[in-house]
Amino acid sequence: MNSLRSLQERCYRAFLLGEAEPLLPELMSREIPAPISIQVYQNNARETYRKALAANYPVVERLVGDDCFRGFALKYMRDYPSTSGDLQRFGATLPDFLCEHYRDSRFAYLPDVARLEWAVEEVQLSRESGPLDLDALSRIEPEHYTEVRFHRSESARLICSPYPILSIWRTNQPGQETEVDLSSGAEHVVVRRHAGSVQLNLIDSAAASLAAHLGDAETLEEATAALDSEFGDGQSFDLTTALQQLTGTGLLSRFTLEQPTYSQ
Amino acid sequence: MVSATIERPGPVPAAAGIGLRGPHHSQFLTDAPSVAWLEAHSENFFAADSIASSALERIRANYPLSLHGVGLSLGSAGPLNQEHLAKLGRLIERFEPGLVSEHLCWGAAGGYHLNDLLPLPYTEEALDHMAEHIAQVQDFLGRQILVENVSSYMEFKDSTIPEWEFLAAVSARSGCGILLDINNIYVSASNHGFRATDYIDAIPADKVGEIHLAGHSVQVYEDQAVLVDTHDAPVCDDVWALFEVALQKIGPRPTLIEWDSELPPLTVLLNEAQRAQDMMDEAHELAA
Repeated sequence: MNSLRSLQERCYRAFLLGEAEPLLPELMSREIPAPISIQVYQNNARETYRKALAANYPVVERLVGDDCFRGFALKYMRDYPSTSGDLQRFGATLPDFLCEHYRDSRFAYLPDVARLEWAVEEVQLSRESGPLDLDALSRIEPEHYTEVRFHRSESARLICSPYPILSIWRTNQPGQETEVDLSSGAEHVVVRRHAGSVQLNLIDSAAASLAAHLGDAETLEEATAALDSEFGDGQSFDLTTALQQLTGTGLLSRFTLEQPTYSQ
Repeated sequence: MVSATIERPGPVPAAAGIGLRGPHHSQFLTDAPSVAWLEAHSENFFAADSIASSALERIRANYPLSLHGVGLSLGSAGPLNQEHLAKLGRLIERFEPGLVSEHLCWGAAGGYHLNDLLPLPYTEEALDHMAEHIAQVQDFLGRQILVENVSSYMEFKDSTIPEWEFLAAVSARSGCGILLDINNIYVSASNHGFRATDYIDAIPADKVGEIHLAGHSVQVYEDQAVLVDTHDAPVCDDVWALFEVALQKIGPRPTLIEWDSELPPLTVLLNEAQRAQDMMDEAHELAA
């Protein structure tokens, strides 16, 4: 007699990895022949993970089509097997998987679209942050502006891409059929949970650059200095406009000062 | 979080309820349709601050609730997943469900999950293991759970105990209740050639705390037809007939219409629940 552990490991390898032979002698073949039993469970596994991925990545599924999506869902479930009994977060590494397989293809934009879809999923599961306290911000003495450190909202994500990912996402919602010009340029998207729903808003490249620096917990002075250096001579960086975009889209939800501290 | 002063609908009644699914949340929030109780999948609400959890908080104020787990993997070799169990504990503390249930199955091996409800080999080893795990869960949660029979598409040569005896023994040893899924009995009986009524007859009626009804599909593999528990269709006539047998043997219990894939409009689920309720009322009148 097999131990429970040994039998379950054989089942796992047969159903998920397709290694049926070691399991066949352990199964009865009365009403259902053993090879058919294994096929049923293999099919169940493929469908479970395809549906779980499709639930989190409906736009990716629509872009590549049903057959292609089934194909890479099968490969993904084997390369990145589930490690939880909770399927809600299954597929977190799909953008990386797509990057490995589609980076140099006509679907090169796919990993960034997947990152956008995963951001939508993440913010739905996150705690909703309140808005930045602009009244408190306005009370800071001007000589302390440069010491302000902004902090990102727990319920917002920034996805930057050289592709028009928000346009792609919007035109691939149910009922939408319009075309997107892939050469139309970069789009940087703030995905935010607000008032119990998910909002997606564009910010410009300057605001995205500022966000990248503030995300490293730099003070406003440190971030501004770095950006001045990046933008170089002859290009102006409008700090106020960039900061307004980051606060307006909810990417920044609080700030701190060494002394005194203000928070939401 | 919930305070002790919030008044919520109490125990799950011996009446027909439906499974609460995401696409129907908004209708429950705006219309509060009439149904005796709701059952939610526990894992869908493990993220405490999610939009779905906020919705359930508001929906819970109007309906008795059962929490039904699909991922604890009670029968997997090795220790229980304590992180999963802790999340379940926090969920129960927050939503105060009238019933809590899981499955007579396994779903993980070697640290990886299949996220399926896989049948056990019905052996003494598996019986000891299952009863021990259920006892641990009940000790941790401080309450009884119900354990549901699953659909099966394979039989292990090692099995020495009929599934219905195994389920009854698990209940007797661990003290858990039984969630009797009539559709799963029908599917497994059709696939493995036993009499579904024998299964129902062997289940101790006083242990049954809930009944599930669902739809299944027929899949064909190399000319072999297999019934698969897909929860994507109405309850079939044969399963309704078997439900009638169960009502006569067991009596009325909280009875759930389960529907997960190809989800229809809410009214379809409510109509299925009404049919179950009518049968329960009729059985009650006959027994009186």
